[in-house]
Amino acid sequence: MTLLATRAQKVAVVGACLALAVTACGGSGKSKSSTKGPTGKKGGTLYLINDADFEHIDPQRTYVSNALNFTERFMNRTLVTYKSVPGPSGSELVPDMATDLGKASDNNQTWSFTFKDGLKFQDGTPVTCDDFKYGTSRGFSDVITDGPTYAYSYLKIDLAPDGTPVYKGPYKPGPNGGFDSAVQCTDPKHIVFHLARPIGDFNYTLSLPEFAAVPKAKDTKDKYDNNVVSNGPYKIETYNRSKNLTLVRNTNWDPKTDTVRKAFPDKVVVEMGADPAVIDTQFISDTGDAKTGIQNSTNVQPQNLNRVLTDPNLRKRAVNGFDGFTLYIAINTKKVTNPKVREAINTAVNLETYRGAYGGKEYGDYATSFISPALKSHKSFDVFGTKKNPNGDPAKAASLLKEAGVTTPYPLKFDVRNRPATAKAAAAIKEALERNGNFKVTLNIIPADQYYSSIGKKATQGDMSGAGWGPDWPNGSSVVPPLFASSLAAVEGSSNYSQLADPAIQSKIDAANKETDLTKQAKLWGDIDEDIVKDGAAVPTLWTKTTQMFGSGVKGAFLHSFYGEIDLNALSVA
Amino acid sequence: MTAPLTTDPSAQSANPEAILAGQSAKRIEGRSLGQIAWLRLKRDRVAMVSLGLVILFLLVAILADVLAGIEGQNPLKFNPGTLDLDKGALPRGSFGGVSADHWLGVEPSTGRDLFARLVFGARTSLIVALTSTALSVGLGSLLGVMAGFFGGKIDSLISRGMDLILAFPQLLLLIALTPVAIDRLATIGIGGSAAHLVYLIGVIGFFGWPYFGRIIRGQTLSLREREFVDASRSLGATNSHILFKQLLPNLVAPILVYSTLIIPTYISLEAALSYLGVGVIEPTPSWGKMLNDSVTYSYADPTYLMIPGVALFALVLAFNLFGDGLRDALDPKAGR
Repeated sequence: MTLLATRAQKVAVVGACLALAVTACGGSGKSKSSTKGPTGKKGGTLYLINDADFEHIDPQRTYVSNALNFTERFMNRTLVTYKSVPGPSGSELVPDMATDLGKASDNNQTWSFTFKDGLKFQDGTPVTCDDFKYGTSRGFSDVITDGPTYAYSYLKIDLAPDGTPVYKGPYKPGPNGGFDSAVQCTDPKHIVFHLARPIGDFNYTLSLPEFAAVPKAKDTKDKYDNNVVSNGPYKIETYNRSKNLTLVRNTNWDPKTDTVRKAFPDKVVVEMGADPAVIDTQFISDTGDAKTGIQNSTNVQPQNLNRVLTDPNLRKRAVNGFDGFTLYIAINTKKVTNPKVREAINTAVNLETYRGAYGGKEYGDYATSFISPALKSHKSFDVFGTKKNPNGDPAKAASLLKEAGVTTPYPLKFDVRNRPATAKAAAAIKEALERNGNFKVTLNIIPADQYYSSIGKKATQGDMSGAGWGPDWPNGSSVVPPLFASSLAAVEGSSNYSQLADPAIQSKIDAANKETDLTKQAKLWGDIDEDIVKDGAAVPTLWTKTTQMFGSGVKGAFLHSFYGEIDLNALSVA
Repeated sequence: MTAPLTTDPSAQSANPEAILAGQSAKRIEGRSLGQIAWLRLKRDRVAMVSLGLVILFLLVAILADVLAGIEGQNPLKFNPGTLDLDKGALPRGSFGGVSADHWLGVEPSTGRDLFARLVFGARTSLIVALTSTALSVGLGSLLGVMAGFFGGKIDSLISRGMDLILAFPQLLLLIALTPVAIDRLATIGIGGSAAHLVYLIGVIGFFGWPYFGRIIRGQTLSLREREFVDASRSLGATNSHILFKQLLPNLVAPILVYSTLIIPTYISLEAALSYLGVGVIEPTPSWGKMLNDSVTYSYADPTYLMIPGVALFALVLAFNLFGDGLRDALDPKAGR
């Protein structure tokens, strides 16, 4: 679960994105899906066999992909959400509680939404604008931790001199800090968001449950994680933390208001605490609850991949595809200042042995860019000839180092997350770079749970650091700026692990942010992506794939391109 | 030295009258304690086989370069060609890719040669086990003998120190301190794999000495009341003479026995720590790390699991059985 942890890790990072502006036109989400909608029968119990409890299901605190999938599909509806279809179309937005994808005005700084009729919480009270506003306000509180922080990086609110919002959430008396005027309820059926600057794809941001409705009367602050009030098709029956969670039908959910959720099973049970390898075994043998269950928090482990993907009987019970993440090796441009040396590193890496360490072809495709091909902003280019020769070219790297005029072997300290496959992949990079006496690589192995905070310390970061990134919404604006914006280069804990502060790149990022035509903007992100690869500020390595299994009694399972896992929406077990 | 002295059959059949008559070709020789112990040990077939195995493993570790050289492989070299990279990066061929080039097959997902990694891993594992044992035993016997001999305040100080270390949650400390300690070692010029090795040896060795110190202290307590100590003292011997010339030689037996028994414990500990991710790091091979890695392949590539498993089992068993045999040989009163 390296990748999920990576996504959770971004929590610390997003708050730093205050300086980033995204300007584009609203109203994306063209319908071009050719895939038939899922069909199924009502009834039965669906099991989610997980290795651990969700960290959070409180909507304002949910940020890990399997929890996002769970809470968005089952309990917390948002204004807009992602389509429930296989393939890249899954990344397209559709209206959920709102009647459309929002109306942007005032140069994309004002976004207004109208609610559908008949929206209710599980206790029968109607969902109103005030509930959305209250839910959004919770994210400002310091007891509501670990969630995304787009509310305060995007909304037009007052900021204290240190850059934090003046408003401290609904639990503390004190100044409102402009929150009331930033999120306005003109009447119970409408909500208006005023943004600090033009954000052309703000409706993508609103798909996060950070902006979901919470009824003020039922809010239990940090205990709300255990008592989420549902407005989706299911509600909590029992929740024993770290043991199991049972959902039953929410009779106050009206399917006529919901074009996305199918809600076939009568009951959903989440079982927690089994070892990932044991979960694999349960699904491979197709016994017990796994028979009508799916893998949710874990993927098929590398050692079982071959068996699952080559045995036809297992393959038909598995989904496999891109999960939207790009693995890369950031090169610290503050330490490795010579672009020729960075080019030499890019030229010398051997992605074949690197990918082998993760489990080979089934783990992912060789990456040539940071924006994954699942995104519209992806541009196809291959600066270092990776596709043709994934083994690297040590002779060419040697001549590049000669041109750079540095003494060889050039010493490099490589930060590595201590996980078995990651460490082996790092050893593969070490071997590849040390060919021809080009480099001398020292592996700096860092405990997994301290890794990202450790490489986020800008002064002590090594010369190279392995990392992975998955966008929060499917646009280049959620990939390029967080990883390479100059404004983040010196910010402690920021995700600009290359510490890249290149004025030329930054001016191009600014230009892309200003572009109002989403199609043109997408092209600009692709161009910047290519510029960064040419600069050698980081080595894109793999676009990763994921494999999950489901039981023989489950119908309608497919890999959702945004969540990067089995979409919980359309499963049926009857 | 009574009954057990009768080790030589010829001595048993010795006939004093015959000797007096000058008929015997053999003389009864005086034997040192060491010789007697060795004679006992030689008769213990299990101990001798174990000793052979231990020597074999030591030779393998010492000659790792030569052995890998004979095979023509390097423990760090990735061999993607030996793997089926389209199907889970598992070794091509049967039994984990065993071939004329790769005698024990290759490591799944990297293709590194397993024989080379096994012999170099033996070196790592034995270096860790032997040096940390030496550290534990050195510290333990020195401080143990001092505590036992001097008694009083010195004894209290050392004994409480031992209690303190024994009560310490060393595993937690080991895990928590790793990043800090590795950084510190890097500032004094020990980086990468070497830093992890030094740290591992230091911690295992340091936290191991009190177990040993207690045993030595107990032995010293009983020894110091013996007549030969009184005799030395009455002849005006200094404390250091009594400590190092009179007491320590009498402690050699327990020190040797305990060492041979603690080595396998440390080999297992190295494996366990590598398992927890605080031990030896990539790309250095060690048996513990191999075992840890191979568990995930227990279904897909069981041969890989067998190799470090069998090696570790044999080495630990050999040291244990040899230790038992040695104890029997050195301590005639223990008997069977």
